[in-house]
Amino acid sequence: MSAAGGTGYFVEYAGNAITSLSMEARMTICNMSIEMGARGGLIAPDEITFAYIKGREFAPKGKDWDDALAYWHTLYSDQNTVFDKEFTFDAADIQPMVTYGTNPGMGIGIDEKIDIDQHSDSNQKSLTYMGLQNGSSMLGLPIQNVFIGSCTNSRIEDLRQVADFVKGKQKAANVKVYIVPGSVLVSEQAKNEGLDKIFEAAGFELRQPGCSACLGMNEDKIPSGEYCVSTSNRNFEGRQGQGARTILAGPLMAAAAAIEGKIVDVRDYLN
Amino acid sequence: MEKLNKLISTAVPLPIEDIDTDQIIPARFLKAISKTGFGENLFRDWRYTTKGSPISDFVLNNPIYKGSILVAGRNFGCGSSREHAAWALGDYGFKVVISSFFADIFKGNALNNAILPLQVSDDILHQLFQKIEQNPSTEFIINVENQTLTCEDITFHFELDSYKKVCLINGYDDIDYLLSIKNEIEEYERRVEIG
Repeated sequence: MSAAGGTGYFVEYAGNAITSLSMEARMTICNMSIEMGARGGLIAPDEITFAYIKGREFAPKGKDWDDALAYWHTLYSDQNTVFDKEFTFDAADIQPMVTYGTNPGMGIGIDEKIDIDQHSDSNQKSLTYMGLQNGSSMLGLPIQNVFIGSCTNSRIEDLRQVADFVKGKQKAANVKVYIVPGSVLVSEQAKNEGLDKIFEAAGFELRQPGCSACLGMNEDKIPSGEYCVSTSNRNFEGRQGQGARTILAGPLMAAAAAIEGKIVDVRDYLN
Repeated sequence: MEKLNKLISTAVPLPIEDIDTDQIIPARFLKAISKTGFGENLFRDWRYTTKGSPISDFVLNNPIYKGSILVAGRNFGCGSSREHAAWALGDYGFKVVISSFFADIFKGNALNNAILPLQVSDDILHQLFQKIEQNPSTEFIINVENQTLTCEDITFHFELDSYKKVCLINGYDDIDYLLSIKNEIEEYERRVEIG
C-alpha cells in the first residue's frame, strides 16, 4: 500500500479475519491507516464492539444503552456499497512483518529479503541510514533496544500477550527493553494483574504511560546508530532519537527480539 | 496571515521522496507556546550535525540555492499531523512547496498557514529539478489567481480549492474569512429568524 496508498481516502476494513479480532487489535489496524496516508480507518461495530463498550465508565446506561445499541446496529456499509478502491488480502498469506527502511511502507514479511528499487536515491538513503544491505534478510540482525508501547500497540491485551510470552524468560543481556502502557488506566490494570512483576523479572523497564520512545520527546530515547524494535507506528529517521534506527514490528515479534537479542520469527517460539 | 498572490522566486531543490514531518521538524523541538521560531530547526537533523555545526552538503546550507519556494520529492509531509511542520516551513521563509504529491493533512495545515502546496505531475517535477540543477538562478513565477506556475518554457495549471484560493490571496485564515462575510451572515440570520 506504501506510505501514500491511502491518501485522500478513509479506509473500511472488513472480512472474517477482521471481525474475528478483538477491539484492541481492531484499534491497532485502524490506527495504522494514517501510515498509508488515509484520514482514518473504521470497522463496522458488532457484538465484540458492543461487549467492549458495555459497562465502561462513559458508556450509556439503562434505556440510553438500549437506544444507543439500536442505533449502532444500523452503522454498517450497505451490502451493495461501491467503494472508490478495493483491496483483498488473504490473512493466511500475511507473515509477521518488519520494516527495514525509514517509512512504514518499507516493510517485508519476516521470510522475505530486502528488495528496494536501487535507482531511487530516497530508498538508497534510507538503507544507508538503517545500515542495511539490499538483498539481505532481517532475520538474525542483532538489536540493542526494544520498545513495546505507543498508541498503536500498548493496550492491555498487548501487554498481556507480551507478559504471557516472556513469563519465566530473561531479556538478552545486551538489550535495553522499554515497556510502556498506553495510558494510566492500562498501567494500573497491568499492575493489578501482576504483569509488572513479570516484566520486571524479565528485565524489562516499565516506563511512565504515554508516548515515551515513540517519538523521543522525553528522556526515553534510542541512542544514535542503535537498532530498536518498536511496536509504534513510525520508523522515520531520528524519530526515536537522533540517528536511532527503528524496526517496526508487532508486540510478540518485539518480545521475541528482546529475549533473543536479534530479529527472529516469533512463530518458531509459539506452541 | 500574509497574502500570497503573485510570487517570483528562485527555488530550493530537495529531491527526496516521502519527506515526513519528523524530518521537517523533529519532535524534540515541538515544545513551544508560540508559532514562531520553528524555522531555526527546520530539517534540523539533515541540516546540522549532532554537535550543531552545519552539514555543508545539505541544500539549505548551500548558498547557491535560495528563494521562498521549496521543490521536494513525492509524498511530501507524510507522517504525523503536527501543524508545526507548516509553521517551520513558513517561519524559515518558504511560501510555496512544489511536489508531485502531498500528504493529506500536511496539505491542509500548509493552506491554513499561508503556504501553497503546489502539486505538479511527476514529469513536470522531474523537469523542474533538472532546471534548478542546470541553473540554480532559474526563476519560478507563481500566480495564485490564475493558478499557474511558469518556469522558462514550462507553464503548468495547478489545482487549488476555490475557498482556500480566496484565503491565500487575501491573507485570510478561516476566522478572517468568516469576518469578511460578517454582513452576509448577519443578513442570513435576520432572514431565518423572520422566516
